[in-house]
Amino acid sequence: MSRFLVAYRETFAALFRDRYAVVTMILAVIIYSFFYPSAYRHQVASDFPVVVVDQDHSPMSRSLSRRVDALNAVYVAAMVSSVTEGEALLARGAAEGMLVIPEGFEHDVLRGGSGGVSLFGRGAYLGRASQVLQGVADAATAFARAAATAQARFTGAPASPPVQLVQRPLFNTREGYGSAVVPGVAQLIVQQTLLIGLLVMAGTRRERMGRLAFSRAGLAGIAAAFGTVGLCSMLYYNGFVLWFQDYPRGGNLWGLLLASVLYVAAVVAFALFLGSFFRTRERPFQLITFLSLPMFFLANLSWPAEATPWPLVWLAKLLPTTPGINAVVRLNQMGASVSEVAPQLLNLALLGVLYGVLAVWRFGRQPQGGGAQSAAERAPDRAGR
Amino acid sequence: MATTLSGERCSSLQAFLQSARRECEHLWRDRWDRALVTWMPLLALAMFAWFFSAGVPRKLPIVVVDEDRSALSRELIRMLDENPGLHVAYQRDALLQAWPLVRAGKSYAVVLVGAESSRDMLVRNGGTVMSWYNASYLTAGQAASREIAATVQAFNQRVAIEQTAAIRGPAKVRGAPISVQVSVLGNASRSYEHFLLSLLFPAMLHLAATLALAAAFGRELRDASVQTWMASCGWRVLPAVLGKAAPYLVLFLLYAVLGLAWLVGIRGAGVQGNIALLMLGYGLMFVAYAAIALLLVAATRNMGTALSLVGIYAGTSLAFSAGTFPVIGANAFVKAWNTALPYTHYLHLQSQQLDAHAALADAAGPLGALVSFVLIAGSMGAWLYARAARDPAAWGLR
Repeated sequence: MSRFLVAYRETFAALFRDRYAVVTMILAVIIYSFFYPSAYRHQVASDFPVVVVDQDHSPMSRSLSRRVDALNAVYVAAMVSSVTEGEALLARGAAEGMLVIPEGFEHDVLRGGSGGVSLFGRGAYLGRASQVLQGVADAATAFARAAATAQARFTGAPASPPVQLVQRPLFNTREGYGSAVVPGVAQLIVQQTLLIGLLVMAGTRRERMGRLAFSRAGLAGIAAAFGTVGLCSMLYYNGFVLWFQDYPRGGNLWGLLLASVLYVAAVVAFALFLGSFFRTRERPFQLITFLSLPMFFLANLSWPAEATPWPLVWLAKLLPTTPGINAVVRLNQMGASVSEVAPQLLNLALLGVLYGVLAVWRFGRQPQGGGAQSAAERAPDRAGR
Repeated sequence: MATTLSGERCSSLQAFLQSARRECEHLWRDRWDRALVTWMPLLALAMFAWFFSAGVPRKLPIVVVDEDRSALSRELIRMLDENPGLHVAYQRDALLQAWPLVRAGKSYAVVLVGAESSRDMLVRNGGTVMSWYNASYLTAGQAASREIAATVQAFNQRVAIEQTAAIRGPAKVRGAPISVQVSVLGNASRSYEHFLLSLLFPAMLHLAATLALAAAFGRELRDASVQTWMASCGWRVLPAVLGKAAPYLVLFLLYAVLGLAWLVGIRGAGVQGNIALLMLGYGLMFVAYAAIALLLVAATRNMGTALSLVGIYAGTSLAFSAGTFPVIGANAFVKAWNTALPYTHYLHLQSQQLDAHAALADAAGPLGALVSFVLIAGSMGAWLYARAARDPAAWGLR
């Protein structure tokens, strides 16, 4: 058998003998696929407590409170009569929003003037505050329009605004938070589990056998074995998990497969290059776990690249997750064509070549090794770091 | 002064100091263990600080399809481009030419001014402008959509009302009957930088601290050095464990202060509430995670397994903490997991004290929760760890 096949087979054998590798590359992949999306299972924020400060005490102010209470997104948790009381509830976290209906509200609306209401959200939770405020503001505006139309007999109908804006979300049409986050995180999980698994195995070998060296064919065999594992994770997440969680998906299947191959190739090459530096079995858990959050944000899925300092945008292109997450989300969720994600695919291919060459260089410097040799297993060297 | 079976006689304080010194010596020797608790967390904080330094998304590229081609539609496009949050990066003649720009990520939203919109605006009872935004890139898409709505509102008020008045007569013109003034307390400028960094700094720090502490407790079992360590502390397990954790707690509390100094000192408007309570909560959160790291190591007796569990537990805190997405409306599992994270309770306290000025009594809940983590996980962890320290079968597992 060729060195390639020997290395391929032996890498798999070693993987299944290594408890950490099995736990990370198989068990963790499955656990995270159910555990992580569960945080966002309910997708859209609902039932937010809102406090109403009614300073008008009029039928119309009570009617507006009832209208707000009837909204899906919020419910009226408390009615108080001073802003100070309302602010205390917000500060404590007992309410997420505060609607202030000022004195004279009904009078203003009936006279055909413009009554103003104020709406306050909690700054600590900007993401959820803005959704809630939008819902309440829409309801208050609709209420006012209806109230004013009722008065139209006396004052004449208010002009409808010259331009009516109709806004529609694309791709993730329910604007689900999970649908926006989990498909990106899924690609990160694929990379991180593969990285930790490979680095743990590399670190373990380094502890036992000293500096590692592989022939090119041997290294290719090892890469192919980890690539197989990575592709299985990719297919599992983008095929099964996104379907099971019912996220928007399946836009461009062939493009997705192409991107998956390029992504996994880039991740494996990246991992092999990093693997040449690790000397301790447990170290990868510490470092790679720690890097997950920065890597996710650097992919610019949750924060636009246009608002990110350009050196960070460029540095981020050295991580497989950056082009990987963007290519997969666009192909799978947004139905992009291959040419529309060509920059990301090219980025992935270049990373695969870059880290592949670096890995060959790092592992090829001591030519006495050949293939992923069936090593005479030496006792683990505990002192190794 | 207690005498022990083996090892030296020493007081609790001596055991604590001896253990802390031993851990500092280890950190001094081990370049990578040191890196993971010094420049790496600092670099991560600095990276995030720089990453979000724009504060709010600005100049988000959008594409406009103007089928109307009137003075009014051009005025609307000009106003869209003048909005600091938006940038009309592309203009296309047909909607079909706009979608590829969105799918390729070059544009976060499409604005369509349909044919004859301006005539509808002026003559009929109002025209319609359509807008689509990318909800797969939710933050950017929603930000673009909000700015587009604000621009159209401004357009309605400023430009179109004048035009309508000229044609239909001023008597027909009235503003919207109710104005809704929306503001965010404690973050008036709606800075995402402030919002996200206030979540990410403690998220990064507690994860890095928990990993480092689990590694520190796990290393002694892995290397079978736990007996030597305990003997040097006269087998006073609790002081020894506390002494080992102390250097990490001091370091990470220092980073927490640096993070807050950046967040509210340099980039923000100071701590609105009680800074002492806030720091007490920050410290208690780190101690709680130290207790949990001890428990995980002692229960698994395996450094690698404990570190994997830390990854699941502390590595996903942000998702389950309700910081970015609420748990109201979530299922029982998510609510239970949310409650079982010290980070959740710290964020609760932070939301009371950082951007708001909650009553002193309100802090009792989150602080009490953090203390109970320390007591429950700490006592179980110390008990199990003491057993593992005396049981050679628990050593050297990898």
